[in-house]
Amino acid sequence: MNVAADERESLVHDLMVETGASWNAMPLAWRAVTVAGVVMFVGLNLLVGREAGGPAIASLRVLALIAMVSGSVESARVADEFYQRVYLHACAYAFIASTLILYALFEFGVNLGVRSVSVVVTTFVISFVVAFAVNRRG
Amino acid sequence: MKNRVRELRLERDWTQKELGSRLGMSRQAIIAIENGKFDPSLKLAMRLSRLFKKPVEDVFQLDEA
Repeated sequence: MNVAADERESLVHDLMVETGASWNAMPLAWRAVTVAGVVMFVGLNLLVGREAGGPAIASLRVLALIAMVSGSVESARVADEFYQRVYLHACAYAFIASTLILYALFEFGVNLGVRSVSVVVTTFVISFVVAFAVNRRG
Repeated sequence: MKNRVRELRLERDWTQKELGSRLGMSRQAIIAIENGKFDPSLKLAMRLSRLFKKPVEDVFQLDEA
């Protein structure tokens, strides 16, 4: 068995493979909920302008976001204890960073409105990659 | 905590991926444990020790320093 060759796979490769494994470990119903949430959210934002909203569309948008976030939480729940720690650290980093970013922007007169959600999500994605790298090698 | 996971794994000629599969863990978890970056739960430490057929204190030692 060629142990050395097996150990050479990269951080990015492992992250992709194990994200896929985490996805596959999710029950089918949760995968369906997550995909439906993503499709509905993207569809509503691409096809229906925000000004053409109304309570019905707003409710669908909120439901889609709940589905996506719930899917992310479920994917963390089925992960092994190493990845659960990575998720926990990423949440902590993202909470601190996005709070500071949004508050600083607000103080400087930049009110992002609903786009604040994008700042939180982007901060979480970056935090996840950082937490993964830190917990993997230190 | 110090541990002998890498040493015991290599004695058995297992890859990190193979050890992870035997435990139902990711390769990253094994890498992090071997590097001393991640102390596993008591349950996982006991499962690892059982897999290596060693007492848990032979696999994991408290780093007094």
